[in-house]
Amino acid sequence: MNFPILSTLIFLPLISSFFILLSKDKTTNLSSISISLFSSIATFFLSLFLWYSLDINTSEFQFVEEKSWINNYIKFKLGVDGISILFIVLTTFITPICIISCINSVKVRVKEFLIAILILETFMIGVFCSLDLVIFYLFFEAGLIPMFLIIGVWGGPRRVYSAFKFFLFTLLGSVLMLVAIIVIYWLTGTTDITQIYEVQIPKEYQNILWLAFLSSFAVKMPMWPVHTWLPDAHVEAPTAGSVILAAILLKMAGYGFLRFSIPMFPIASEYFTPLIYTLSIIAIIYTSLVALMQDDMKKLIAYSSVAHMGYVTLGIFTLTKQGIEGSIYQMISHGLISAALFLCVGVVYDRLHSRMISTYGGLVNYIPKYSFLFLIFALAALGLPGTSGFLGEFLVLAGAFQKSFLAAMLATFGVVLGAAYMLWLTKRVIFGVTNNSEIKKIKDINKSEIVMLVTLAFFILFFGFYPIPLMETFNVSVNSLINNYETALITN
Amino acid sequence: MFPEIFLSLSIFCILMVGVFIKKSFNLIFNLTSLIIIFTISIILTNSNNEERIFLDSFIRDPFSNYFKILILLSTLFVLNSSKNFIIDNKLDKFEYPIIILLSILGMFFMVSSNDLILFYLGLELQSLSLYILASIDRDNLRSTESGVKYFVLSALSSGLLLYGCSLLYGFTGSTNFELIAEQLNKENTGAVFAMVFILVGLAFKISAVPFHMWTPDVYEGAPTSITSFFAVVPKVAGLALLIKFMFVPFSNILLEWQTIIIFISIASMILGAVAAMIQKNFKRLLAYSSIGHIGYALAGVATGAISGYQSAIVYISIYVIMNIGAFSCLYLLKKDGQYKENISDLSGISKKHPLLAISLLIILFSLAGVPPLGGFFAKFYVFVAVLEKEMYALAIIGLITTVMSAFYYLKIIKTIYFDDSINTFEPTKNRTAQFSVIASCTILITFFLYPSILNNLVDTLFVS
Amino acid sequence: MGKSAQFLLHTWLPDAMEGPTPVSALIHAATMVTAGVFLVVRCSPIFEYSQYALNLVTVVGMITAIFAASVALVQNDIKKIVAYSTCSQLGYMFFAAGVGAYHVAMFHLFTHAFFKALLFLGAGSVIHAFKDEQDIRNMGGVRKKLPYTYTFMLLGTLALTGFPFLSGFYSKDAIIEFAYLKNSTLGNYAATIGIFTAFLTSIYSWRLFFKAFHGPYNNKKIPIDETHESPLVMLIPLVFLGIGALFSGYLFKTTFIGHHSNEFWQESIFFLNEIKHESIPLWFLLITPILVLISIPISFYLYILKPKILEDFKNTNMPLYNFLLNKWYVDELYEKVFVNPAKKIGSFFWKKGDVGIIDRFGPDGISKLVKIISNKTARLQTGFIYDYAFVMLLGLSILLTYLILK
Repeated sequence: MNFPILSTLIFLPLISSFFILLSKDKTTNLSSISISLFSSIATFFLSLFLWYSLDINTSEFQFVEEKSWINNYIKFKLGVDGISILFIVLTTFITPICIISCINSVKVRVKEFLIAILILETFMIGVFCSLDLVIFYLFFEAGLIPMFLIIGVWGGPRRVYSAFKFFLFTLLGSVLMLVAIIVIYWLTGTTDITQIYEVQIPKEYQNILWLAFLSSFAVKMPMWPVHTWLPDAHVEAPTAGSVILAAILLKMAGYGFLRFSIPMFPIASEYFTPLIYTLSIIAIIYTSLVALMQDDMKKLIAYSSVAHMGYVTLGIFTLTKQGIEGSIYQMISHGLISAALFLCVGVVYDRLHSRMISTYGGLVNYIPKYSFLFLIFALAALGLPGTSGFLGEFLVLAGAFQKSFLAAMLATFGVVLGAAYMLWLTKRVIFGVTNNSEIKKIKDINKSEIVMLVTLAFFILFFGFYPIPLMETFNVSVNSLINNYETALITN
Repeated sequence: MFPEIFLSLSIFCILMVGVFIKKSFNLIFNLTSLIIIFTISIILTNSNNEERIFLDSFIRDPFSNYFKILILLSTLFVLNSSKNFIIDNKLDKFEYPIIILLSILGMFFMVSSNDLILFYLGLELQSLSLYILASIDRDNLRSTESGVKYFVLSALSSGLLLYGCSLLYGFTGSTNFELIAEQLNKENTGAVFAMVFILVGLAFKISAVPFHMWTPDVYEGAPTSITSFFAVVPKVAGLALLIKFMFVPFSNILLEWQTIIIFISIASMILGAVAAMIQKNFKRLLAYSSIGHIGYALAGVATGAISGYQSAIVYISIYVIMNIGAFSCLYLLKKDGQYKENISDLSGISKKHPLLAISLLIILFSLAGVPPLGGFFAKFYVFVAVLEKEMYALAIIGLITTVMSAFYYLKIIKTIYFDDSINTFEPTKNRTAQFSVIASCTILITFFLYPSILNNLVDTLFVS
Repeated sequence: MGKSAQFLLHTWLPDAMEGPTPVSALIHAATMVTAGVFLVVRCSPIFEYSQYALNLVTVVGMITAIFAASVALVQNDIKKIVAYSTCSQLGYMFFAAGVGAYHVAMFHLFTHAFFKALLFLGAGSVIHAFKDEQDIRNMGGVRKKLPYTYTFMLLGTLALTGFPFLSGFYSKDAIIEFAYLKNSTLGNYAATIGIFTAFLTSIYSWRLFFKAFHGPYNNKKIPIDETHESPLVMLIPLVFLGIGALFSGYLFKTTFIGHHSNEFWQESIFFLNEIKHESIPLWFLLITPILVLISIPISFYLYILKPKILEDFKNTNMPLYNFLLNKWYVDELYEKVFVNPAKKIGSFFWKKGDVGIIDRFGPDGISKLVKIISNKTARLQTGFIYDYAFVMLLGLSILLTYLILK
């Protein structure tokens, strides 16, 4: 492949953000919105084309681009395989939706907002494409800047606190990863992960390096007990920010586990499995219980995200085919579902400017279309069969049952709790008694909101009934991941 | 031709011009810029081979050339972007640029010296010029106060330095760096003591903890144009000298000075991060930030390896770019004829001055070391070098202080972007300052496209 | 078990009745709850091998049956009564399955579908007539106004109570018979409870019926003239269901539980020891219908003619009444045992765990600490030259001392 398709994919949003910067419309922001929408949709189709032309029968990295970068020893290396392509498509799919959502919800400094979103998209795609640790770190961290601004500039009343917490928490987590990356460089002489896969990292270093990577991923994931930035960030971020945060930024860590932690440190991954199990189970049950008690819708969904990410970590570290596939599936579906739920909250927030559950009640009587969609998403979030949420959780649990009965049992208990808080939320918001006179005047969703929500609902249901397109894509890659892991264990 | 000769001759010439022509600030200022550009071209056209004169006491080599160019370029930017500020604050005396040129001459001797005496002469020439500069706004109480403080403390440090030099001469029998290196070893306790004194003197010049105390006061008290010069140029020279000392005369007692440098480095990083947090004055904050940055550069030096020195040089180069940008932004904050320098004055400028705000954003994130900006690569190279020597604690402390210092940079960004707007600044005509800001931002943003550009330059510096 | 709303897991069912009436009809009569019974029957091969599991099913079924019936006795919400009645009937099915009479369970499931849907839609029609009034205390005396609804409700009630030769009679009695035929202690208990429950069933059913249609008109909000018969659309389904309630028992008896029922079920039900269809004493066969029959006048007397007696009884036995009215306090038990602790733990984790510990000692605490230190360090910067010089010399001496000691 001569055409640098991955670089195009990464830098297309960045370049279009320059055009937005240059565009001069003071009053309507129409050209900014159209440029960004156009470019993000173009990026989406480009990524679809990438998915389409990806050979799913091999676990090799494809569309590899390589350029010497730092002193010829660190290369700017990009490539995709069956796992990363899905995250790329998820990213490019969510971004246009965010841009549409900001038509309704962002009122000030629209231009800057769009630029921030597009730059963020560049970094996010970059994370999923990079095949070099330094490049990965670069994109991984760079995403903090636009996100910090999105939360801080367009966020709610406690935005400053949340933005700082988000930024510093994540930065603190990832500096240790930077140390680990440099140490790996000195141990192996390269930061190209395809080469690191082949060179075994010495046993005595694996554990400590693995922990360093964990410190970064655990914060980003987020795992208990370093999850507290997430509810704050979600609550204060504008709708589009929450969507991106939940749908994509959280997935970086899960992806990082799959791409880096397990293949590079197989021995450590096995050694620390109990730790991950414990943290995951605590995350699932603890945060589900906390979610139950929230009176802020966004906070509730944020805590539910933590719980869902608990399943992801649990699934990944079962190190079984079902578990890992379930985790990937769960990540994708959570990307869709949480995005949809945050958009839903955003819709009513735009109208009544309250995120409190108690403000609402009986919405079904006044805005039936909205309520119907909300119900679909809520049911998907609790993992109702027929939605994409079910398959991920089911596979994760299936994987977990193979390895640890106790962990699986507790995780299953978490499913019940998940159903409890999600249904209770639905009951209080959508059904229940209306005791707020303003709700009677509320308007149902408009066209752009229908476009976003129906698209998401469609994919949630589609992948709930027909998971094969996703499953096929990552099947071979997951197989080889597990094979490599097992051979690495045997040889040691 | 040696640039020093050209520089000295031209200084005399423009001094004559200044004396005989009234109101000649503009003329002299422009001539100074021309001289600087000429000097740069002289250095560039000269061959890059090593040349020694005056009994090996003066060396011209790639190492010194690199620093000379860095010094000249940064002076050019600092000077030109501050021109409006100088005129507005009635500092437009014709001596101003001349003194700056004199201090540059001193720095030239510092970075080229291979001898204790020449080095000390250069250092004193530079310091004397800096004393005058610090108190150049002689009717301003704070400017004079800072001048005096700097003078007294610098005299103290020079004394220590000189004492160290004499000890060193006494215990090794030579003033030549290379001869000293041959004589120096662990058993030579007196010389090791001398090393400490010299180190203290140098640490003062680059304002490393615990010899940093003058920095915040002088930075805050001196006029901004001087502060920006202080923050950039002498640090480059000082660090160059420090590296030179470590590399040539003290190369045999690495273990002795290494712990000292590590201590100074960690202390600087921590103090820079912690103390800056509650500062309200932008210049004072930049003072603490520069202390922290010197800490990172010293971490590179502390490795005692060539790769570490190189990373420190790369670090200081990027630091120069960032600081020129940061100070140039201050020249753009003019309201009612006064230049604002409190952080709270920046409140909400993103609404009225989006370009200035975004430039500050880039510079501050870069100072914080967030990828993909230039500042990240500076730190990255340093930590690569540090970890090569397996100095894990240093690296981890360094990175944690990075996070802590990110806090106060974020606080400024918060003021700029999240707070409500209170100030509208005058539309500026200061094109040079704008140019400096834009140039610095462009370099910082695009640095990641070719991040080894500085490394390739620096790679050639340590041939000997 | 949860799905078919057995005891302890039943609480969702009456609460689900908040939904619109046709939905409740659907949930009850045909689909959802019966799925649980169906699963038990379907899994007969598994259950058959475990006597323990079978006994458990039986006991649970028994308790559910009598529990729900007793609760239904005192409820005032028309839909809740029907809901608890469903619960009770499901109990029947369960213990039928428990004693091994899977086919009978299925048969009851089948007939139950008709008359329960009928009752629900009928109840819906009544509610509609009273303009969304669900409390039977506020009804009464509309027999003449709602002739069709009245007829179909009568039909449904008769079928439910097991009035001879209607559908409920065949299936319910069959269950009791089979329990008796099981010839074990548990089977006998089951049979006894079955009979007793049948009696309760008929009491509460008639109570509902009489209170709703007979007696004085009790609704203060709506004058009696405004009550009206439901539109045709609502009545047509009632007709079909009514026919089903009338004849389904008789028509399908042989297919489901007759001597040749094995041909119908073929392999789908698995018996380890098939219960022999022996002859049953006549008194046993008669006892249920007789009870059912006498319950009609009893309840008419108690609820319509002399409500005073019950009122006195209620007042003297207030604890019992409340116990039943509050559904044996199961909801409250749950509230206490599961929901409240979950909420408490949840808010404990949130307020104490997240905010109190993680945030307090984590990000917030550290940033506070750093700020304090920062204030202290900034105070070191006194502005006096001698302090500065002192710090410098102190630094120098520390370094020198270090080198000497080293």
